[in-house]
Amino acid sequence: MDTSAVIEIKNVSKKFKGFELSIDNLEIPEGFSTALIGENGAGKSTLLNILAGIRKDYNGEVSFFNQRFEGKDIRENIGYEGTDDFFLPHWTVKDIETVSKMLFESFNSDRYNMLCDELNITETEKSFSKLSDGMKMKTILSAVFARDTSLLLLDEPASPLDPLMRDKLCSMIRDYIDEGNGQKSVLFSTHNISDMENVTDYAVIIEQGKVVEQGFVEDLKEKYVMVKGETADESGKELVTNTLCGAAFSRYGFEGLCPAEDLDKLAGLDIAVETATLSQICVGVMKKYTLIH
Amino acid sequence: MKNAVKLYTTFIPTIALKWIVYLVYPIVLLMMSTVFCGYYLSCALFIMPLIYGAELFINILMFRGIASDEPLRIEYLHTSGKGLRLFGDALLFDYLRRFVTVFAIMILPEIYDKLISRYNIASFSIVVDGENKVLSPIYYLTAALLLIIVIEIEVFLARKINGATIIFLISFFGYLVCLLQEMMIFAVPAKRIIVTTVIFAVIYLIVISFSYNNIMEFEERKFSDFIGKE
Repeated sequence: MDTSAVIEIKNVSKKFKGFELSIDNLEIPEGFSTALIGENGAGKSTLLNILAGIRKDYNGEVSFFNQRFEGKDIRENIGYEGTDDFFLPHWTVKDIETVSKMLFESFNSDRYNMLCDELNITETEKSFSKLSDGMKMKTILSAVFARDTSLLLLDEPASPLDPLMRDKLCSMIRDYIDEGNGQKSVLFSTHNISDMENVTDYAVIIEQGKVVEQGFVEDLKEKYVMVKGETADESGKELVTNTLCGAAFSRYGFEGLCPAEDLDKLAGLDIAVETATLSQICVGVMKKYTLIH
Repeated sequence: MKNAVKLYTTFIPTIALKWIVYLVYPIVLLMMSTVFCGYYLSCALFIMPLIYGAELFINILMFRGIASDEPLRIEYLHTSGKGLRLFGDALLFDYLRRFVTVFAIMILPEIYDKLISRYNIASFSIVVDGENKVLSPIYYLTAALLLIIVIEIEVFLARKINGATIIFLISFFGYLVCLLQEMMIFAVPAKRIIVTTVIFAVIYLIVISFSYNNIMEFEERKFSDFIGKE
């Protein structure tokens, strides 16, 4: 699929003690919803902080909307949702509205209040720090979606939300992209893609600070298949282990993710092939690169 | 500046505290200063320590440890191109509020006294170097400058250090300065007081300039490894 890029990342690196985020070349397609998937500590939040302009101590180049990432005009078009220290702990819903109006020209108070009603944010006089994690996230999302932006950067938005609210969030993201007619994009991070699978068009899998796989979901589903089968002997087990990404064995047999091009290597085995879900693809790919044993 | 004041106000946690910071505290201390100042050492014993304590408390309330190793972090400001500038303006307004409040409490009652000639000047003069010296508003101006220099240093240190013990120790030091400074100021001969005032004014500008630039530089780099947190 030939698309333009809303974000271009070139040779971005950031070193920590015992870990390095290192992304040589990554383009996030414009007009789609992209999921940044990785296990805890993979570098997702660090990358989003760099993209949001919050974190400045990195090497490399980031450009948005085909421009260099400089100047406040770019940030006016980018909505970022973070975690933990996003607002002052004692700010109320009203304070957040007051501050948002000062910070962003396109912030719409009516839309913000409408979203607060829609998302059932009832405790408007309570300090932000005293809200539940779900309420905090809903408040942050209301502030972000109340602006007229071209790109949303969302850091694990679904984590603290209940299933109903996750479904609502998926609708909000889908509506946001549809409204944009190919000009609006969303990049969200998650470590549990099954919650957001139905709103993901493009997936980027990060492991150990590096991009290990990326692509449109349909393409990834053609690239990988889910294989299940039975094998009795050791040579079969060895073949399966070497061919599949993160093969899992039980007394009933084995299952795992297999690159479609390597399916013929398993020709001699009794296997069933299924279309992999995005969640299965992510787990399989991450298992290949993870340090967890 | 209007937005800076609005942002500054959001740093004060509750509506009651906003009333206290903007109105109750300055007015109450202004009234007390009107009653007590004019009596030698009364300002040092009552009014200056109260101003000093109130300003430290307000700082802890609003900006506690904002530039310390466990700082107050507001990611939202950093997501906007206007955020840091607005924060900087709010910080400047904080210096201005403190300056106006301290000087109003210290100087206005003295000017009022002189206008209504409430006190018998000769009875409340102090003897220095064998000369009678009249209590003068200029001495209160100098005392106010010294007080605010000490307050600004303490506020800056409280913003950089998050430890309660250290804050208590530096607060105690500042309190001692309050007690001593009225005697220190009135020991300055009349012919030297103008120069002393100018010197203190320059020191004050240097202190707030350093404080502001240091806090802003820290805020700019807050979400980086600069403070040892990811």
